[in-house]
Parts: sequence; structure tokens; C-alpha cells
Amino acid sequence: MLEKKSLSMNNFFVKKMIHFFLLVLSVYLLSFFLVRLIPGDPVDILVGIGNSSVDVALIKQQLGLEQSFFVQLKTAFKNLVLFDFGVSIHQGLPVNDIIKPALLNTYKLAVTAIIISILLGIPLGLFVSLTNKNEITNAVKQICNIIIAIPSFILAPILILIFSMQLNWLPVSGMNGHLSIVLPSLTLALGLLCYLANMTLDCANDLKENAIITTARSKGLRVEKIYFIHILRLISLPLVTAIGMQLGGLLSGAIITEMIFSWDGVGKILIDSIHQRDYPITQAAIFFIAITFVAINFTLEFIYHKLDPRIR
Amino acid sequence: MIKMMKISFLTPAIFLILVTFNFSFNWDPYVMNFELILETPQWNAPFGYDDFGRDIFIRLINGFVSSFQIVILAALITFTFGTFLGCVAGFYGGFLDRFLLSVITIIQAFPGILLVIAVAAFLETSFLSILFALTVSSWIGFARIARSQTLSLKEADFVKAAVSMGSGKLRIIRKHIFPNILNAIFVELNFTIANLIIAEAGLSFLGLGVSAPFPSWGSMLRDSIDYLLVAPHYVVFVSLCIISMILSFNAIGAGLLNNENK
Repeated sequence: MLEKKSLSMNNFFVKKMIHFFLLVLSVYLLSFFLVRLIPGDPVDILVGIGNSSVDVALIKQQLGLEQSFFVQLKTAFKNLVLFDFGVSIHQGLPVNDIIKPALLNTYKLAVTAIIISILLGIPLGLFVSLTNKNEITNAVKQICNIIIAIPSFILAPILILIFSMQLNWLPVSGMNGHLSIVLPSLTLALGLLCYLANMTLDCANDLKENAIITTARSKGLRVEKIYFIHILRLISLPLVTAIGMQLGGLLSGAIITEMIFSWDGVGKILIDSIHQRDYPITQAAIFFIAITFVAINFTLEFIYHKLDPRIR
Repeated sequence: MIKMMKISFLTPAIFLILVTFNFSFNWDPYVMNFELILETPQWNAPFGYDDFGRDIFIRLINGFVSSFQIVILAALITFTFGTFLGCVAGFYGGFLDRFLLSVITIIQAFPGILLVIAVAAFLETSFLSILFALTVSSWIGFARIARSQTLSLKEADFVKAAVSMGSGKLRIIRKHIFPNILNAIFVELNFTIANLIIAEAGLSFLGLGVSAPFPSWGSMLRDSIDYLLVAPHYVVFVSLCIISMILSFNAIGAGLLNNENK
């Protein structure tokens, strides 16, 4: 019996890993051959007309565009295995050297945002549910729904207006000092925070009549304790799924947020490279953002699978 | 919810009325008054003036026209294309279904507007390329909903009856399945429009959308952020416009969803 169970876990793992690698491969191919969307000669558009022909030939060679389609496909596969994304056209550095610090900066921002939203959103939902008042619940839910709908490029200027201009507490942009992470991460966090608060509120209200809670109360436990131990444990699973689902919005919001706050993350590098037509970087940045998203979702699926014996 | 939904129809309606005013009075979004640069709201310019001394109110209305041409067109294309694919894949099943599912999985690997940015990045900025970029990434919502609804309708008695009477598959989809999934698709349509507004504004915010002299909400927002300190009214009015639009379409979608669940 035990053996069978572990086998099914292994099976699940292997199946998911194959699935994951197939997805990585297709995302890579898609991001690699997006450049084929450029009508006409891509290099002409990349360098602009009026450049010397030596330039064009060199760039063509650098990008491997003078070779046939299948040779390019082969090189693309080889580069994926070697994790080599070529050389930046503008800066002349290997793309990996540029992307790596940027990715770390983005992860720093995203992780801070997730921590902020978990630490504030879930307690907010629990406290509102504790008040047991319909008006407060409805008001909080309405406000949260509005904030969820606001895109990051509107949230950012509003936050700058409040915290940097009026109150003068936080720096407007840049990456100097510890305080500079607050505003960009708050911009990213607010949507997820409200989403988590809403969800916690809904789940906690649904659980109020549950037998587990009645038992805990009849044992004489304090209501606060029931909320922060029993209910929190019961709703942790849907919350994990919710965080996974919202991560997409967080990562794509990071692209615009980094632009506004000039945070040197992978999103800013992506947009800068698009404007400079530095397309090895563009490809790599798109690939890495998508892969981060996919990898986190697969990890969450494993966690979910481990936590909840029912879906095995 | 229903009341919210009814109120929400007002925002697009007001904008449409203003657009007709705009065309009948020929308001010009390009007139520059250099003595009025970044001037605060006043009687003849209710939203004030921007960094070139142009009337923000008039520019917002013209931005609505250019943004909404793209958004509505993209919504209609994705609506038709996505629903058709979802219905066909759900009803025929087999290879077609598996293929559609894997395409959806690949597209979903790109979070949020990343795919829109990626496609727009490699195309020259034009109306058609923005439309293409928006369409590529947003049809999957319709396809998923149409597919799942079709899968459950396939087992319904009236569909089985139609099959046993020998009507063709496409006819069943057109006559029996499509009318029954229309409600769910309309809910999705509203959320898609809200998302398309965000994506379109995001693209022009990043400088990948409608190019410079043409007014668009996203590029106006980007310009206004440069003058955050000097002229906060600029950023406030532009943000209010975008938010009101997104919120109304979200509320209409939520109201329809509520109506349907009853």
C-alpha cells in the first residue's frame, strides 16, 4: 500500500517534469522565433537604414541570421542546453551577464511584494471577518475590488503623489538605500494584498458555521485564537493556489513598475532593449520572465500535491 | 451588484456622448497655447492644460476614440475566433482538443501583458500590429470558457437528441450550443474588454502603442508622470478616466455573472 502511494507520487513528479520541460522548450522557441515577425529584413529594421554595410553583415553574423532556418533551429537548441543567449548588440556584453543581476533585482522586488501582501492581506481579512459586521465586510470588499482593478501604471503615480510628494517619506525612484524598495514593492503588492484579503474574508466567513469551529469554541478557546490557528490552517490551501494564480499579474506588473521607479530589474531591461532594438536581450528577458512564472506555478502544484492528500 | 451594473453603463455612455460632441464641434486635440502650459482646470478647459498647452479634456476624448477603436476591434475578433475554436475543439474532441489545450498552455506561460509586449516589440508600431499583439494573447479566455461549456453541454439531452436526428456537428454548434453559452461568453467579453483597456494603455505607456502626436490614454499618462510635481491635475484626470472605464466594464461583467448565477 505504502509502496503504491510513493509510486504514484513519483509518477506525478515525472509526468509534471516532462510537462515542464516541454513547456520551457516551446516558450523558448516562441521567444526565439518571434523575431521572424519582423517583416522584411530584420537587421535593416534593427540597425536602421543608412548604416554602413559592414555593420549589417557583422550583426547578421552575430545573430546567425545568414544561415538557413534549420541551422538556426539547431543553434537555438544548442544554446538553450548551454544556457547561452548570445551577446548584446549595444553593450557588447554577454546577455547572461546583463540578465542575471537584473533578474535578482526583480526577484527581490517580487518577493518583497509577496511578503508584504501575505503579512498584511491575510490578517486584514481575518480581522474584518472577526468584526462580524456586514457593513464593514461589504465596504472592505468593495474597496478591495476597486484596488484590484487598478493597473500598476496608475497605482504608482498615486503612491508617489501621496508618499513622496505630500508626506515626503520615501524616495521617488532609483535604487539608493533600503527605503527605495518600499514604493515599487507596495505598488506591486497592493493588488495581491487586496485579493488575499478578499479571499481570506470569504473563506473565513464560509467556515464560521463549520463543525471544527464549533468544537473549538465549545472547548473554550478564544475567538482570536480560533481564527489565527484553526481557520488560517484550513484556508491556507486555497490561498496558496490564489497566490500562484496572481503571480502572473505581479510579474507583468513588475515590468511597468520597474520602468516607473527606474528599478534595474529584468522588466526595465526588457523595455530598454526593445527601444534600443537590442533583440538578444529582449528574447532572453521575455524567456526568463515566462520561465520564472512557469517554474513557480509548477512548484506550487507540487506543494499543493504534497499538502492536500485528497488530490493524489 | 445589479444596481452597480446599471450605473456602470453610464461611463461608456458619457464617453460616447462626448465623442459625438467632439465630432460635431470639431474640437482639436493639437491646438497648443504656450502661455497656458500645465495650467490648472478652469472654465474653458475643465481638466486643465498639458505640457504643450493642449486641452487635456479634449485630448482625453480623442484618446478614447483611438484607444477604443483598437480595444473594441480586438474584443470582437477574439470573441469570434476564441468562441469558435473553443466550441469546435470541445465538441469534436480528440486531437483538435489536445492541440488547442497545449496552445493555451503555452500562451498562458507568458504572464499578463508580457506576450503583448513581446509581439509588439518585434513589429513596427502601427494600428494593425497593436491589434495583432492584443488579439494573440486575449483569445484564450473565450476559447477556455467556450470549450468547458461545450464539454458540459455535449452531454445534455437536447444535444443528444439533435445528434440522433442526424444534424451536422457544425449545425449543432451553431443552433444548439452557441446560443446556450452566449451568457457566459458575454460575461467574459466584459472582463476581456477591461483587460484590453489595461493592455492597450500599458503598451502606449511603454511607448509601444499609438505613436507620439496622436492622443492616447497610456501615452498621456506617461507624459503626465514627468510633471507629477508641477501639475498633479494632469495625472489625476488621466488616471480617473482609465480607472472609471476599467471599473465599469468589470462591474458590468460582475453584474452579468451575478444575474446568471441566480
